[in-house]
Amino acid sequence: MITFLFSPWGIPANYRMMQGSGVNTYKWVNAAGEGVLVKYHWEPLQGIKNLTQAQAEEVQGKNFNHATQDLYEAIERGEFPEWELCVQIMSDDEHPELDFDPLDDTKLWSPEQFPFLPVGKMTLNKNPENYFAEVEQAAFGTGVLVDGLEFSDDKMLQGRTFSYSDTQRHRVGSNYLQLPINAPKKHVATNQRDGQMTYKVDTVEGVNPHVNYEPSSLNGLKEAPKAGPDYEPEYHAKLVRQKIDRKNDFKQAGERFRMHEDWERDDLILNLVNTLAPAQKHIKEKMIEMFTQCDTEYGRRVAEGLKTASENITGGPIGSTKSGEAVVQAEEESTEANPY
Amino acid sequence: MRTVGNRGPATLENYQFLEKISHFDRERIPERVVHARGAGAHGIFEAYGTVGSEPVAKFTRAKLFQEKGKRTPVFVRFSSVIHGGHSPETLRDPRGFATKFYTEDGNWDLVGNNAFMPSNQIRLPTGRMESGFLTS
Repeated sequence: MITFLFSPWGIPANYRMMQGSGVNTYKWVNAAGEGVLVKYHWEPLQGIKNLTQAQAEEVQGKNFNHATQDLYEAIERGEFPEWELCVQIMSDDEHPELDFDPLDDTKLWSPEQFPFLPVGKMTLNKNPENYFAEVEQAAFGTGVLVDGLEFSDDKMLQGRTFSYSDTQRHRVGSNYLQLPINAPKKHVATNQRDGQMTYKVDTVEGVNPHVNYEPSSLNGLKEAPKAGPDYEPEYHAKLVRQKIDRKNDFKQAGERFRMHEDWERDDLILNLVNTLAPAQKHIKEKMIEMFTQCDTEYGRRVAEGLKTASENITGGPIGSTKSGEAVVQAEEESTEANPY
Repeated sequence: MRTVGNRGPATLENYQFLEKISHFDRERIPERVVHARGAGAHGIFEAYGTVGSEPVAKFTRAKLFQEKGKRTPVFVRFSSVIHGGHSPETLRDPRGFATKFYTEDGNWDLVGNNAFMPSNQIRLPTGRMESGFLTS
């Protein structure tokens, strides 16, 4: 992640020209109840563009809302941004032949081994009418799934799945799912009742609204019929508190370092050096040791950069060399005024 | 607004004023702990009916993917991650990419990023603040 984040990939040009990833591993289940592991990817048809630190600082000096403005104006002009949704598929097992665990969300699945298979295309063609009602109150969650899509045993994803809906109840309110931006367009009724800002009885016409339990002989809601057999994986393991076996934290970072183009690698090194320069010696040494484990050239370049880095670099936004300079500049270059 | 003389003071009976100012005082909700800074748009997802060269039904029965040309409304929210609600959009950070599909079976949220994550959930709350990771 660091090898991506400190390279120009850490500052996408805007929201239209970036990829998206489901990050975690999910499952797909077919009509026979058979499951596979999948990873999702959004591929922008506008292409991918990223900024160097220097370019980003220049853009920021003129407009720090440029990405929101870019998205809004592109849609208003009728230049609708599009992404193709791709999935990578592998069978649902431990895959001992791989040097990483398929449930490890820090790992990419090699596209040569697990090709990106397109399943559809998304077009964004309408701006929000009210930022607060739509964008601010939009509440997402990784457990919000439909039949045929499941989350995997990835423990990181299971933690996320609790956290998202929990935070929406705190942030938006316990009935956040009744808001138009969050409610399904095809109504799905539940027996959930009451709570802050209850807008309506969550039922359907013709059903007794006073019954909030199931089963009931008084014409309450009935559970929807199953669309197909459940996928039922089998487990034979102890309940443990352990890390996953195949962590392999450095190999993909080394590959990413070598895959970067020269300008991306140069910016990556520059940003790491500028960020680490104000750090304590033992932190620098630890970081160099880890970069060296990824790729010896990676470690060497950061170490050499740190040797010659200016002593004047102070802590500030990651990658920036000039935050301390700005503090001094504001005082020194400003002009005195008389009290009003 | 009713006041004692046109230079004030105001009286407590100014219900419309009190309503308006009280609503103003409550115009904000807690900011998202992460992904506070964002932008969104509505759109359409159109299925190919296939996954690569095979029928998608081989792998999933999810209805939104089955028929070629089937359209599902979506809402997308893009964001940065660790910075606050009005932070510059030029900052170094992963970007959030969350999609809500309004399918005929109810909603599907695909809550993604443009980058990758720490692998143990217990590390997440500290990882996002860029402090040291817990060791458990």
